Amino acid sequence: MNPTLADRAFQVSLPAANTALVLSAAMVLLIASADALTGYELTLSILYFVPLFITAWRCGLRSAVVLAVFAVGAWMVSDILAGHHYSHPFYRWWEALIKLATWVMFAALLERLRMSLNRSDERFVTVLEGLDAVVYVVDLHDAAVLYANPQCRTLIGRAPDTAPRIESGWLPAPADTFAAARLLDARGTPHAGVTGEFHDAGRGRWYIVHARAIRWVDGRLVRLQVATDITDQRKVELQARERQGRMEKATRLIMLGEMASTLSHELNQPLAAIANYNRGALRRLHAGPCEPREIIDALEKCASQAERAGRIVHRVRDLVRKRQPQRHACGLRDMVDHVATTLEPDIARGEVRVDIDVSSDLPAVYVDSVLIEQALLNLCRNAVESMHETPPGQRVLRISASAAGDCVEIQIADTGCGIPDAVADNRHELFFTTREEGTGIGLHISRSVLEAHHSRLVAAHRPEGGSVFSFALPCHAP
Amino acid sequence: MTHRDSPVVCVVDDDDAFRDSLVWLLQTAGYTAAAFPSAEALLAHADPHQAGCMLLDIRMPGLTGLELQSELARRGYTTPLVFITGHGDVPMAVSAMQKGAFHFLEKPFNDNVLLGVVSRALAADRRRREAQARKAAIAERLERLTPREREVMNCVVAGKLNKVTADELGVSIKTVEAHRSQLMKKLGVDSTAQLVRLLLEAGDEPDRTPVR
Repeated sequence: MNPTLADRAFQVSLPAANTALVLSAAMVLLIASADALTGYELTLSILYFVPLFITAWRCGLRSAVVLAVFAVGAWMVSDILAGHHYSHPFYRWWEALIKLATWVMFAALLERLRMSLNRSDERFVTVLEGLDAVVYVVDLHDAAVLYANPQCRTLIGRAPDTAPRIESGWLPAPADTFAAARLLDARGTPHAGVTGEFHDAGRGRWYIVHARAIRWVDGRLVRLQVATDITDQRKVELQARERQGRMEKATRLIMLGEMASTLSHELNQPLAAIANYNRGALRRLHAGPCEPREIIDALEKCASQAERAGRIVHRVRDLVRKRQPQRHACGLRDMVDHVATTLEPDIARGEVRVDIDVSSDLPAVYVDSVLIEQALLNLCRNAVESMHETPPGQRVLRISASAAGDCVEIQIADTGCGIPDAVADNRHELFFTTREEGTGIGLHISRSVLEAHHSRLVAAHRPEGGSVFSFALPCHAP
Repeated sequence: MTHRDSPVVCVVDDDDAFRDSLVWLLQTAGYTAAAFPSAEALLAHADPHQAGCMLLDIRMPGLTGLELQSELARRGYTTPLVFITGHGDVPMAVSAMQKGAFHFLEKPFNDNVLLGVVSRALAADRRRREAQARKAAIAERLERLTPREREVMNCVVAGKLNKVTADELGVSIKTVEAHRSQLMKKLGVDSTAQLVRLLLEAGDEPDRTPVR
């Protein structure tokens, strides 16, 4: 017979069925002997229930009935040995019959109770083990695993003993998310559950985990956790986001192309007119003496066409005039998180580990968040893309920030190909790129954004390989 | 009639400055130019029989250059058309060429190239008009032949001997010879070879009259 959930919960080790039966029989004999010794006036027949119940629970009803018959026999012998005389022998038999009936009835009841308990237990276990989700119960204090469904065992390849064994490699660290302080209220009783999303970089899976504190069957406080694998949804989501990013890029390029085409068409008109007047005037002058009025006319028209071209250029410049930074106090952590989310498809595709060490307690920076996010995004994207050649396990993008006087200093470090010495100096040239598909504009934008904030982008080699870009952002209005 | 024979270069472009400068350049080179700000203006004022050529902007509000080309063809214009294209209009220019345009120029262009194209277009127009005029003259002379002379002429062109012709038409050889010398005189040719060349110049004239 399988141990029930309750058995497992209490970790009670019960003897095997055969041993239980033999022990019960021995117990019956012991009780019968004691009964004989104490005499018939002090009846001990209630004690027979103990071996009987053990047998009924462990070995089933049939064994219990056999034991009951055996116990009735033992009782009759002890009754006779105690010298109990009845006015008629029939009464002894009647007494035995009543005992037998009572014991069998109780055994049957117990059997029914055990069966129904078992059934509800089975239903519960079937549900838990039939779930796709990983379900496990962890002691709130020592993190020992009290229950784990088969999915959990499949996940880590063996029966888990502690929660960290299941959650190893999850990011962010689950221990913080599911700290007891977040699951219990001030009085230490369980309250609202906590949900967190984790990335298991080792197995390349994503989980959404619901956790809540409950009182376990033995009364102690435990954490019930249900982890659902959302890797597939996540992939679809990432692909959708990536597709949208590509579409936006294509749209921007088309718009740029359209603008260039319209502009060149518009400029072509006055230029072609100027060329025509000019050529015509030259022809007339070459041909010999001619009316000065005609040439003057043409030259005046030339000038006005040149002015027209100038107006077109002005209009375009107004259109793309550099946006002045709209500064306000911004949380750096939020901006970094936003950038990390935007870059998620690239990070996932590049199998890069992102290490963010930007405390939300840092002082707010006084910047144009849109522009700074763009600069951060360009630098991080460069960092991710520079790690193509790095072995997958060693690709780490580290974004860190620390307060330094009136500024917050930000560093973006990678373990990529680094900056070649020969180009370290002209890294900031427009259209300089180390990538085949790069346009070389990204770094230039980052630099000019930082310059607009009176900051400076500094690039350096890391002794352990890769490069680090750093800059400082002001915490006050200039 | 005479003013139609001196060539006029029509310029159709919606950009005033460009149109004006182009006309000025053409005038400098000694051409007579007429400017139209739109395809509709050209259609309203131009004459199908006017000698010359047309410089058309391919991209215009209203009727585009390509639409104007179709409309001119529909109205029986045979004037050579030169398209002026801006940035990125090359596919349009190609389809204009496929529809029989004379040439296309990409803006901005060199004046020598433009004037060269214009002079070639005008030469082509002149040749075409002269051929048309000759054709008309021949057709007029052919009109003067009697039906019998026409029949005899067809037999001569077909290379039949007078005897065979006489048999076919049911007349005597003498009569055939008389018709033949008469028709040669009317058409102003001295030999069968000249007659054939005349008819070839006149186009498909001999075929149009059934040979019987």
